[in-house]
Amino acid sequence: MSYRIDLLGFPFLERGVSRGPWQPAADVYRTQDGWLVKFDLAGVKTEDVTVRAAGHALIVSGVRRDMQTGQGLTAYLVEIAYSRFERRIEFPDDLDRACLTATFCNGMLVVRLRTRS
Amino acid sequence: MAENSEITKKRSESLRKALLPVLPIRNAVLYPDLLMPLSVGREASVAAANAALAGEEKTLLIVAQKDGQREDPGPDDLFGVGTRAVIRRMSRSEGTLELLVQGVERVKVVRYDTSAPYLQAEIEALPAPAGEGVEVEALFQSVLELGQRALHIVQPEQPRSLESIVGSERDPAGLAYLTSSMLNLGAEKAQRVLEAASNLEALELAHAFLAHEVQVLELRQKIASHAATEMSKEQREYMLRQQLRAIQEELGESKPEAADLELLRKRIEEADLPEAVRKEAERELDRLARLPAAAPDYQITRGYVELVAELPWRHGTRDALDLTAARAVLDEDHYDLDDVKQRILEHLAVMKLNPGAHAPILCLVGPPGVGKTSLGQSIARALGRKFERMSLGGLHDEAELRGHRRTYIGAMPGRILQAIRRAGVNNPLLMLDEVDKLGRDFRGDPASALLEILDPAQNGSFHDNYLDLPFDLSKVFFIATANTLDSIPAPLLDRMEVLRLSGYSPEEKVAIAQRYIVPRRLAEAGLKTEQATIPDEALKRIVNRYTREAGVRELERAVGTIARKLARRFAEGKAEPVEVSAAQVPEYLGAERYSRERARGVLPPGVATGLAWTEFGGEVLYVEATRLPGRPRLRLTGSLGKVMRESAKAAQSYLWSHADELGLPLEKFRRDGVHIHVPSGAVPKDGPSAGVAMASVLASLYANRPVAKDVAMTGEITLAGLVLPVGGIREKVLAAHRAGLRRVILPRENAKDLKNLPEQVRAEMTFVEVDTVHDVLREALPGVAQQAREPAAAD
Repeated sequence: MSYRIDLLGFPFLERGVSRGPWQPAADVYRTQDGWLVKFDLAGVKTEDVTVRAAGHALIVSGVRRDMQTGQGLTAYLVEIAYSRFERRIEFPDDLDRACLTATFCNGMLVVRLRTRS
Repeated sequence: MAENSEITKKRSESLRKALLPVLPIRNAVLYPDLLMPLSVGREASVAAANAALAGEEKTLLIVAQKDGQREDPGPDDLFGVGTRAVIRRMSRSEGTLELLVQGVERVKVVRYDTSAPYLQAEIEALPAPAGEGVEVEALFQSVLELGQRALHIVQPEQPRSLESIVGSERDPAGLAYLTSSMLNLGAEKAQRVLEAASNLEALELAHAFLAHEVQVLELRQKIASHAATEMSKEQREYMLRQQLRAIQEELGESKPEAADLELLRKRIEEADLPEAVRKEAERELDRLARLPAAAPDYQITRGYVELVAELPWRHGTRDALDLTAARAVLDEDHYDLDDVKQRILEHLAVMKLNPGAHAPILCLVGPPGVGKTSLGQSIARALGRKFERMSLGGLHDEAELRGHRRTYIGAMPGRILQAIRRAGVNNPLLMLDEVDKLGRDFRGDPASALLEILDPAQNGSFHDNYLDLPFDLSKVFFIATANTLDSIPAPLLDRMEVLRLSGYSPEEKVAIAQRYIVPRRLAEAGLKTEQATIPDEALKRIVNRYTREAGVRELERAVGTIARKLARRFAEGKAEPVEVSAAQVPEYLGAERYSRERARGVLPPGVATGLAWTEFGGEVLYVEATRLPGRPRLRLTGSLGKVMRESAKAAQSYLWSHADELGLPLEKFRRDGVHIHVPSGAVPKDGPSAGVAMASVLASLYANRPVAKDVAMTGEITLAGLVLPVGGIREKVLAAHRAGLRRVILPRENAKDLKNLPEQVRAEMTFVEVDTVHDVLREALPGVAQQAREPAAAD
């Protein structure tokens, strides 16, 4: 096992992996009464996800656990990020008074934000 | 992030009793939130990673080894504080795992479990470093700036903004971790940052490490840029050299030294060298090729090879062997000098019959201005040989002739080889002028060096110190010249064939002037021969009244003066030809310089007329004697040499012992001495030829009778009264003739020399040939003569 700090750059930043918990990819849509936000959170159990609003921000966090952990399994390639994740998306509206619903559909977490009544 | 820490806290508690696989790493520390690529190869580490990958969250403990060299670290080899991390990515290949791990939080190891094939640990989460304030703020900014500087040095092209990486959160510990991870701190220092309990401590540590690192980096950059300038200087030189080479190639002189060598080699090849010489030359050339051009030896060796290539080892001119043509050339250039011309023609004849014959070595002896050097030139012309001349006058260093050995700085070949090199042939006519004026001192004796050069038996392999190879001088025609033979060492004289050139008579001088000098001088002054004539009478006046010499140099100068004055007249507009009559000569040359050398009108008893020979021709010499009352001895003055003094004493002894026979009244002289003086007192005189004059003057004094005033005399006497032959008869007789004396007493054996005299002179003079002193006295002292006749006859 060898390790060398590469002063010439931050290779870990070049690989599309940022600091801190991993961030799931998201799509944001405008709707008639607010926003629709879709998160790529395949393989995450519903009970492991927390969705909350704080001021103008929507914060989705949680943990992804690997299901394939039984005896006789040996990993050869791991690219899917496990463990804790967190994604924070800022909106122009104040979300504290918004109506927030979240559903899982085919591995996608769909969050509806109704800001206008 | 209060919720987050709460979750973490809960998880920590749940993990408290659980065991995490431990992955020890070397030389580095993983900090919370940061990513680190790892290559896992050790068996225990691979097992730990596998265990982590089998977990739902792929969590493991990353702990730094205290000693990076340990291959199989146990619990004691690891630090007590590590980082809980998750595996973000992994790929496996041939037993090694490439991991990308990300730190989550600092943890303290509660205990290690070694029951599994890999190390496991029970951990307890440590709170994130806390603390804020002005100091932390200031340190944060300072670390940020230092980090930025470090990045700038490391990545000058696209410096990444550290601020953008730190993000808006401005977490002090996060910055400390980030900057520490940038540096190659080593496990121990990195671990101190990880274990820092507060933000302040973490930042202080990071600042110290970063400051040091920036210093090192800046120093390294300075060194690197210095090296770069050094490099570019070398590159610049290289570029210039390349350009120079290109220019030289354009000019056809690619690699100057090599071209030079090639040229020399070609010259050696083209020169017609004997085998041994060629080998030597090639050896020197090879030596030269190995020497750098700047070496001091290079020029020396190069000069040597050049000399070898240039010397005419086998190249010579063909001799013109046409005797008639040669005779014509010699006659054209020189008047009379029959002896020499005969000798040259004889040699030509020998060469015609035997081409391998040694060239003769001649020595021309004669007064200055008689044409020795120009005779050499015309001999060369007659033979068709190259002419080279070198003066040996004042030469006193043997090395001048033989050269210096090449070990000396500035060594050169000797004058002989230099002359040969100039001539370009191995059979030039080499004239060694003034061989009688060779010097000699502690530096060696050049005369001895000449012995080898002039010996036909030895000069076939002449050895010059510089050349250091034998050179054949046997084909060189040597002609030495000298004014007198007296100062030439006998061994040297012995090697040469001596040819005498005596002085010219006035008639001969006039002829020479008419035939050679006048045309030449007129031409030099830009006049045509028909424009001016100098009749014999005028020339005779010049010879007698304006010059006194054996040769014709003064005469030539006088004619030159007349020619120039004539030239001026013509230049001023005169048109008709001029004849310079004898009466007009003073107009051109001024008052007569020499009065006619007249015999003394009256000779009192005790004065006789002798004849002397000098390097400059003959002279009339008066010997004077007077009685010295009360001092019975012989006093001799007038700068007389030893030989002359002895001949005076011999004369005195002879007269005393034969006083009765000669009827000399010697009573008066028993108590009185005699003083003999020979003017001019300032001119040194020597030689035995004044013997007869001494005897005559003494007899005249004793008998108190004057010597006949029209008689000049020369000859050596012996104590037995015999008169022996002497040299220089021709010059002496000419001098007597010049002085108006018409009777000359000379030894009978010298009668043969009289045929050398010009016809006219011979006709005007009476020659009395004598055998004994009695004969002399009879002729010179008429009064003594009768008494002397009988005993002389009895002899």
